[in-house]
Amino acid sequence: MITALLRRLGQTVFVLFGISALVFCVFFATPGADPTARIAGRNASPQTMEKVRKEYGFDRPLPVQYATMMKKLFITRDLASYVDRGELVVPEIARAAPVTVSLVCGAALIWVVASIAMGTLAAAMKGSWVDRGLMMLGLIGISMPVFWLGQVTNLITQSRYHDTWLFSWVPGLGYVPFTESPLGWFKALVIPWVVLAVMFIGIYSRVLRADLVALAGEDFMRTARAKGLSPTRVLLRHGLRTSMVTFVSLFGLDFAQLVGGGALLTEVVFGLPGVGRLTYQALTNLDLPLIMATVMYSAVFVVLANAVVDSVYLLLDPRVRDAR
Amino acid sequence: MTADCSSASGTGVPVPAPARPPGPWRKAGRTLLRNRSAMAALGVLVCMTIACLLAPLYAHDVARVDPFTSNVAGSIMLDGHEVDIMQPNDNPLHLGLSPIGPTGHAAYLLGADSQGRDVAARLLYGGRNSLLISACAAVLCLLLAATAGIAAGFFGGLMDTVLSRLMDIMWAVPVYLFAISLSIVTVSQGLKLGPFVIEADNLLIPIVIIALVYVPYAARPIRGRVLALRQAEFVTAARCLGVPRWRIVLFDILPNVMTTLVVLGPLLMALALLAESALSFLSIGVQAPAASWGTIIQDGEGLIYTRPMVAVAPGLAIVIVVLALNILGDGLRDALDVRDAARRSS
Amino acid sequence: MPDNFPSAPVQPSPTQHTAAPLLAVRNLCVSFPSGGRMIPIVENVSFTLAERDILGLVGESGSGKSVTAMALMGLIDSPGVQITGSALFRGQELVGLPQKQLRRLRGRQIAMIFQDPMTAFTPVYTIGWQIDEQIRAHERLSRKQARARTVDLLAEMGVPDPARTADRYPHQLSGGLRQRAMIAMALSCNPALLIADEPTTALDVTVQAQILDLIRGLRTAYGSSVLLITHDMGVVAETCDTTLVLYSGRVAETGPTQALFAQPGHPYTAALLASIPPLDGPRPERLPAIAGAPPVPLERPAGCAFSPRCHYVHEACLPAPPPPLVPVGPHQSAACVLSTEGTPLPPRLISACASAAASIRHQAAPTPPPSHGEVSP
Repeated sequence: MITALLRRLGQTVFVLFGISALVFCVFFATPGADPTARIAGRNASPQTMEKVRKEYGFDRPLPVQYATMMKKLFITRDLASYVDRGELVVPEIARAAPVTVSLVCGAALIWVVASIAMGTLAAAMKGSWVDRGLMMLGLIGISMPVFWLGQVTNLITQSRYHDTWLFSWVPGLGYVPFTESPLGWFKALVIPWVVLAVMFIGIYSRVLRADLVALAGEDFMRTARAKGLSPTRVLLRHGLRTSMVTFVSLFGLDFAQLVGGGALLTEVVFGLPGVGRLTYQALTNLDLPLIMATVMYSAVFVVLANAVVDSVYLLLDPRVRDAR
Repeated sequence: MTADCSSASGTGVPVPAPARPPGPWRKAGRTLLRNRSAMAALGVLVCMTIACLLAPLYAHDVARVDPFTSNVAGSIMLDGHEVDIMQPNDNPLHLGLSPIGPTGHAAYLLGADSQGRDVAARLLYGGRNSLLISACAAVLCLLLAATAGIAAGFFGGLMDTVLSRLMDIMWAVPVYLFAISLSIVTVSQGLKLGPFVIEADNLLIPIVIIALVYVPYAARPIRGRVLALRQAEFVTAARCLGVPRWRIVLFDILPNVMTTLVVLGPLLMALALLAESALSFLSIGVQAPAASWGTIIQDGEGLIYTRPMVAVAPGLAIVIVVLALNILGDGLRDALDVRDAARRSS
Repeated sequence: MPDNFPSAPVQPSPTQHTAAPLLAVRNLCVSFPSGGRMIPIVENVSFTLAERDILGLVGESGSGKSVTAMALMGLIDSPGVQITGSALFRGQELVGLPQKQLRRLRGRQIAMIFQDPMTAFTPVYTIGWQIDEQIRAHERLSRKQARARTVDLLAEMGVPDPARTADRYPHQLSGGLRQRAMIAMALSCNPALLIADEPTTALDVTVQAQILDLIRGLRTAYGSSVLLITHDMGVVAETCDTTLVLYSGRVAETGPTQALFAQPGHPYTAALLASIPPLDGPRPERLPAIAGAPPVPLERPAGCAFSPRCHYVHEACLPAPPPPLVPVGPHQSAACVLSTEGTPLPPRLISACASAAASIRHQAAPTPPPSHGEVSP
């Protein structure tokens, strides 16, 4: 148990180190991203350049620079942005994180509930037009670029049909903190939630249906039917419960990636100041400290989520429990 | 039950041997031909490709417009009247200008974008780039993933460890963020690899980036398949016969992985198309004045409330193509009976 | 539970006093659609099963024995399947019975155990949970009462430490224990009929014998009849009162096990019995095997389905209607023209019958069990 835990920890540290080193190298190896020129300004004199280089430590070897940056990010937490002078990076992320978490959690709730309902219904009515219709809907959901869907919903809810009773409640784009007004928070987020969830509803309902249909041929499903259980109980208690194992592993990864900044396009389209948008801004400015911080933040999330998925796995699948 | 019954087809009965049964590919082909939705999807894809390839013809001979230069001051003839491309807004004071909306004529069929360029013509030109990039990215990604997956799965040991850890690292970064980082780095300066210089507006850049980013997605199922194949009895048999390893990889493993690759192909192309449009939408994919469906959506973002067609049309084109690719991929998967390819891969 | 049968250990069945059999199957046919045609998998199968009787259903894989059982249970739900004929269970017609009523019978009156105990339990629940589930699906019992019965049942099936075993997951138990748990689950509502589909095939030889002992004991302990599906002539000889040999979806021969083993009326039965190694006398160099393979349902010959592999085949076997079942002894009949033509098969040595049973037990060779009395060539 202890060794397994240590191994897990070792892997985590390794992945985090790998990502940070990779990102660091990519940006320092890039010719256009020389931070000195950016900080000093476009037409800075060589003297200013030299001064900036010394001040920020860009003249030191790369490993030292990397170590300093990691120390500032994780230990002293006073890493400052290169672009907005003096803007501390860690609080900036702390401000953006609740927005992203609100967005992703709501969307996740919607997509889990909707995809379980759709996938189970489709599997139960396999071969019928309900099944085909639901799966086609799912496929369409997968096929839509999320930013485009966001634009189209904006067009409908903000402009074309905003004056009708249907969408007159929709507030303008932007985020309202939950602490400020729970109702405003909900109103501001409900449309982004749905838009973000659409693609995942498609993926998950299709995966779940395929799983359930494959399970229907399993011996234990036949046993369950031979026991005289109702079809609903066979499908839900035996089929669905067993396919939850794959479902959860898929969910963990997607959820983590979204919280880690993968919801960037949704955030951009709906004007939500979340981590994804922050990362995007950092990237367009080539603001290395902020990039470093956001990437590490997202990596930490993915790695954490993996650990959570593994432990949920243990809960869900007794076979894995014993294999440890 | 039914499988139990049909599987008992031995050939011990002294009847004249029938013609060689069709190989798995022929059989899959036949199944696919009978799959109406997959065939329809293939038809849509072919039509889209042909239409996009005919873009210059459309621009020069039908619409008679130049889709790549700004035409803000220009005007066109509609029903014998000369109409300005940039028109005053509908508001009471007629403040500001909006590009012309859909005209219903050959010229500016879908209206103009903010630069006064014909959206319909740009849509076709953009489709060329979008389809080209996504197809090339899918193929490149499959090549890389197949190499990595087979190397990791078949040779195992250190190779597997290194490759798997590398994949772990790539998994831990959200796909789009990864692609965006790489794009930003290359888009500003281009890429200098020793003597080779790739210009920033070269389509190779998005192709390589998208292919790289999706390698873990494709490599996982391939590695899994190879791991299963390595345990298969025919591979053990080949080993016992002393067949060299490269021959096993080439003649025993590869043909069996091929089905997985073929199924992954359209699905990856769909993912690549979506990724390309996202990058272009963030203006770090295809660079102006060249078009792709993503850049046209980006052009239309500012006009979304006044001239929604500029953003809606390329979006619909993306949805149609990606949908067709997904349906085709599903059809191929059913025909080739490859179960867990793509998206089940975690 | 709208069912009005009391759940006492031995059910006073309303039909017990009459001589009517528990299960009477007449001309059961099952066909599956494929490529626009209906493919008959089971054709005109008829048999009766008396109370507390054990009937062996023997045949090669693909002969339709499992499909027969699944059809009786109403468990075939592939689209377009056609089931005709009649199956009277305690006077109630099973063929065409609505799923809702079938469900009330399943698990309660007719229970089933399956070939592979490894995969027959849902992997994510404990054994006890799954047995409780069946009990509570059919009877109004509290969780506690159900569990008490589960533990009792497991103990009766010879499961050591039943209370703890009930809390274990399927993958934590050995194959034999799992099959015992499976039987316990099947018996949990005192079914009148137990359908056992190859219950011993996936087990090793010593466990096979124990499980067969258990099944044999059920009629005295629980008053259950058993429909035992197997491809193993040794198992039949050891266990069954009556035997029904299926070949390619049709009945080849049926009769009391003793008589059928002593004097098979169908060349197929004879060939099957000949492929069992004898216990006495010199061991043959090679066991006789039946040449060829059973026909695919679509390519069945017009006449006798066994004719392409039969030593005795002649013109009378080939034309269209397959030979009907004709009596070849008391209660014994075979679908073969030989006895009507006055040239019945010679009787086998009686000792062979006993040795067939014994061979399974005593020749506990290191080779896997199917290599002995296996039917398939």
